[in-house]
Amino acid sequence: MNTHALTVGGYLVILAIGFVLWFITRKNDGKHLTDLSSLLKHLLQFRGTRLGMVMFWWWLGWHFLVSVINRH
Amino acid sequence: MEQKGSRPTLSLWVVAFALCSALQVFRGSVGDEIIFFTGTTVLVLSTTLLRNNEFPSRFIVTERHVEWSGLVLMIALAFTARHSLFDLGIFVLLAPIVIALAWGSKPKPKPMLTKRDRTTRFVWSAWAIAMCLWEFGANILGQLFGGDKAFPTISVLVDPLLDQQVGQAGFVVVWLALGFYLLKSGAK
Repeated sequence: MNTHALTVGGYLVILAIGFVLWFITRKNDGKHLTDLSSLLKHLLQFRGTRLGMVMFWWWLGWHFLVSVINRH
Repeated sequence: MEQKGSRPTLSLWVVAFALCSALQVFRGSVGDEIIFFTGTTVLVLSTTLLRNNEFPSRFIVTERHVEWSGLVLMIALAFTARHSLFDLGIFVLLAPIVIALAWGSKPKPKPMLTKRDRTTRFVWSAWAIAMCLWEFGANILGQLFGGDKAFPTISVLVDPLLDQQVGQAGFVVVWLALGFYLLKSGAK
């Protein structure tokens, strides 16, 4: 397997884990884990978390719409 | 939720932004370096020197202004050329507005997380860190060996999709929906 396929495979595996995690917790009826939406609503009460998430969100838009992606 | 205790003064987001800032030095991306350094400074100030400064974010966000502004932004960003001066202007204007809207009232002691919430936060944090490490690893390895064809970053993989009009419009819609959710949820 070449490094390109391995790198892309890694992203896909991590994304799949995230999807499974969201899917199994979405009804908020688990014993050990709460659903992501409830957790976010609680964490967003904190100014640091709110600012961190909103600024990172802004940067995502900047990165893909304004910046030119440097290739090497 | 339990109703005791308070949060540490400095948010862990400060550490995350400082690390991203350090990575930009390695990448040689001056623009992103300035952004993450400014973000780190804003985060530190928001919980220290400017801790008691307030902004009526909740009042503004709960009104309909955000919905209308989002609609205007969607039309403006989805169908105009990427990397243009127009987009640059919009994002420069947007930065102080979203910081103000996320600022809110001064931090008060908040209810602590239950064990179930703490476990969930740990699991999702581990997931996000794994994604960041993989991305950082690809970026560093790509610069040292093989280039971005051998070790593509998420940006390199997603960029060709955004070159198509449908891809750009789809990204703008999802990105704006996420921002809308963050601002509205934060105001509740």
